[in-house]
Amino acid sequence: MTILKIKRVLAATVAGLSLIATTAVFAGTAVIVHPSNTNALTEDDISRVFLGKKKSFPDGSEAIPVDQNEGSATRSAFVSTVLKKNDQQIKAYWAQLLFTGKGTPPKSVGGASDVKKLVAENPALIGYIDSGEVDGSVKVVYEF
Amino acid sequence: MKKPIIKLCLLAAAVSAASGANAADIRLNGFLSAGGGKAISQGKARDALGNAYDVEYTADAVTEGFYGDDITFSPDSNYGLQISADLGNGLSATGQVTGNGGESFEAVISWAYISYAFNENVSVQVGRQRQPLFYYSDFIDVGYAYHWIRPPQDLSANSGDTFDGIQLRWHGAAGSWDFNADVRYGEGEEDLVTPDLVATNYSVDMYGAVLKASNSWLVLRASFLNTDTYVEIPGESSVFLGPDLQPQLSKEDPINYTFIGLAANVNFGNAFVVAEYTYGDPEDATGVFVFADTDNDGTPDTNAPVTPSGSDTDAAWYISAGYRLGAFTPHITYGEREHDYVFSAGSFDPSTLIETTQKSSQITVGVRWDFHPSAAFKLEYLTRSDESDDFYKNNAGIFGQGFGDSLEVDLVSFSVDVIF
Repeated sequence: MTILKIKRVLAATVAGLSLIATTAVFAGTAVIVHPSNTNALTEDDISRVFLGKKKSFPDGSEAIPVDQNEGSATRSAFVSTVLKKNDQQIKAYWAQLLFTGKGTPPKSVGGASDVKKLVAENPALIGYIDSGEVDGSVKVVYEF
Repeated sequence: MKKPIIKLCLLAAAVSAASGANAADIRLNGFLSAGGGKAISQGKARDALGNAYDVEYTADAVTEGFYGDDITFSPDSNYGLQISADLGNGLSATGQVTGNGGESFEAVISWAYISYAFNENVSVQVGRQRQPLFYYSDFIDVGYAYHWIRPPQDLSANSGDTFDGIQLRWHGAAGSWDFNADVRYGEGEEDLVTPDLVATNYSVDMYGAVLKASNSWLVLRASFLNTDTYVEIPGESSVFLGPDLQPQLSKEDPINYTFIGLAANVNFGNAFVVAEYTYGDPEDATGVFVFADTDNDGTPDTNAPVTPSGSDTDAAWYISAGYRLGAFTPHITYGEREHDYVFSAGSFDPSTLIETTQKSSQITVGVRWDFHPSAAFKLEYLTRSDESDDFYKNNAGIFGQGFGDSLEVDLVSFSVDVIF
């Protein structure tokens, strides 16, 4: 009886652990836009918008990138995967542009729920959140 | 010195008026570097009057901050505050005040301009801007943005780091490449203050361009400048300019100067290499002879030029490599500079000028440590060797005193760079 209980607990624990592991592996990051935005975006398109090299979507409409706050793991993942820089490099990149009048970094608007709320309200915005946070109020254009 | 203050007030007024009218988007940003250092080995040099001195390392040629025998904290220390108002529809106004330890942190206006974007690819900036001569020139104050404590000083402006004028910027993209072309026209001025000389260097009818091609791992940059320059010396100064022994580089009769620079910045994962070559060429090297009036008789001492005399072509290059190991970025840099002068031996005589070369090579080894998301600590060792020709050093002892090993110096320095 006791042994059975222990086995059950162990099994449940293992299952739970593997579930966590699975979630960790597949909890990617989604780049999101307003549902009415019909543009197809490549990683390069997204990178250009977030590096200030492009200020419009492929269809010509205005594109405004929004960042999550500094220190967010999602932000670091986005910067390293899509922008191909580490947190210090992206900061140095924007320092150079900002203080020479060549560009302004995207606004940091808060956490995933803040980004989702703003993007759901404004067709010009583009942001990124955990894939697990995506719902019908926004549209996923890229995922990693 | 009142001018910058007035301009700052005007700018602040303009910005606040704008914010009052349109609820403009205002950004306040800044940067600060605090550092120190000490020359740990100093060459022996002589000035034009034969007085011996120990060589110091000039950390900032424009603001004259230098390291000597004693530990000093000001040469690489500086700050900047930027206020920018986005007025909407492509219009913005930006002002940046900077202060440098070499100038007792006195506030100067480094940027004050209005920008208008015609569309996504073309914009125009009118007002005061940093002169984008060398690769690092226009963000040289922002230590956080590069790996060194200071970019190689042999390749940075020594007279005039800002200009007042107009700049047109174009940006285009093709495939994975981005292209930038910036052209500018304007004028600038810079006070030259040395123990021997108080003067103002003017650059007028100045035009320049920066062309850039970049992709995700490579930046290629070309820079060009052409300007007329002349020097004005206050009447009471005990210093004279040759060869006509007057401030002959007048507004009516300036000297023309051309500059070109080429640079490449390569990034491969965590490794990077940056290299730059620059070449400056004045049309007439006999332009700026400077004479003292040591006996105070109101006439120049033509037998004792204060400077090595006329500055001729000035070529320099460096290559720097680094590797990012987590928060640490160790790096190494090698550079050379060759600066030609024409020299008047003994009494000044334009018909018997001698060509001579001041030459140096420099190695910098250092590490940058990103110990905080917004701050970096840097530590560097620098060794510079004087390889000037024998005439310049006067090791052969032919004429006068010569200048000795005037560039020979080793330096240890550190800094903390912050942005906000």
